[in-house]
Amino acid sequence: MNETIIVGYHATNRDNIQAIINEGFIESKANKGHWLGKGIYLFENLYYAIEWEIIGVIKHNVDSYDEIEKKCGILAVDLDADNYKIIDFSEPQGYAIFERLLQLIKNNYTKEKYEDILNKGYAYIIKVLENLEKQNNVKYLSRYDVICAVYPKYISKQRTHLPGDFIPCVQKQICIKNKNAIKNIYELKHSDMTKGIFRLITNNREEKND
Amino acid sequence: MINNPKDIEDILKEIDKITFDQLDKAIKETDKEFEQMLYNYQEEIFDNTQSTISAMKNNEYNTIESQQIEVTEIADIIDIQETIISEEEGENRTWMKEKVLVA
Repeated sequence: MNETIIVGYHATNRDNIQAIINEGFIESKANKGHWLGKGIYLFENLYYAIEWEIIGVIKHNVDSYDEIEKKCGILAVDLDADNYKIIDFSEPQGYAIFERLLQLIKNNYTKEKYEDILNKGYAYIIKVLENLEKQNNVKYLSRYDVICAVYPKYISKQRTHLPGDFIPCVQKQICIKNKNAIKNIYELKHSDMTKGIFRLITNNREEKND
Repeated sequence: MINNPKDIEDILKEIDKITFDQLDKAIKETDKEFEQMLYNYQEEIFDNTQSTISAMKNNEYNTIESQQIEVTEIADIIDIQETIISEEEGENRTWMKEKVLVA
């Protein structure tokens, strides 16, 4: 029987790699700019995991891949999508939950208050749902083992808004709420492929800063 | 399973049952936490900036060290050149003394 596996990538300090493979992940705190709440964060696309090595692990621009090879590593994580519940907010079915809550807020507050809440972003709305869960003892999002969402990444300066223009360079984040959904963790070794992606990232980051 | 329609339908029904009081309380609680979240995020941005500055300072320090080594090497070269000039002048003076003596 074919299994449905979702693969995500996690960038981390080289010293953490073996510990995570042996003992598993520690959850990230929700207040560290993680927009899907507490959990273990992965990127669907290896590009963003390698970029995270630069901006999240080393925390400054690097000129050569050597520094990344010395200080960082990437873990590939297989998630069991057959036996665990996954919601993707960027798909219409998943987004329906957001829409329903936003509609509830709109019906109960003034236009100004509604817009004020909307302007705080979707991370805020997720927090509202989490607090409603605690209060009401009802599972809204916590019934899910994994939550995913797609974010825009304005990598290229070229922007047009014509019909038929696809959305370039979106970043899918995967937040694991239940570690049991992890089927397998293994190190993705540094290779010509990862070096090639690094060169692309460096090029894109330079162009963006021009 | 991803986006199981049955689960989503159940959640939507639960959301429809939420009262204004419950919603308002959750929003007020979120407002408090969100301020703290943004504050922590600002702190992290600050920490990241500090790390970047430290890294830059380390790079500068290494550059200054290298420049100091260069300066020392140049000074050594100057010393050697001065020694050579002194020795040459010494030779010239000796030759001049010999000329005078002969005369």
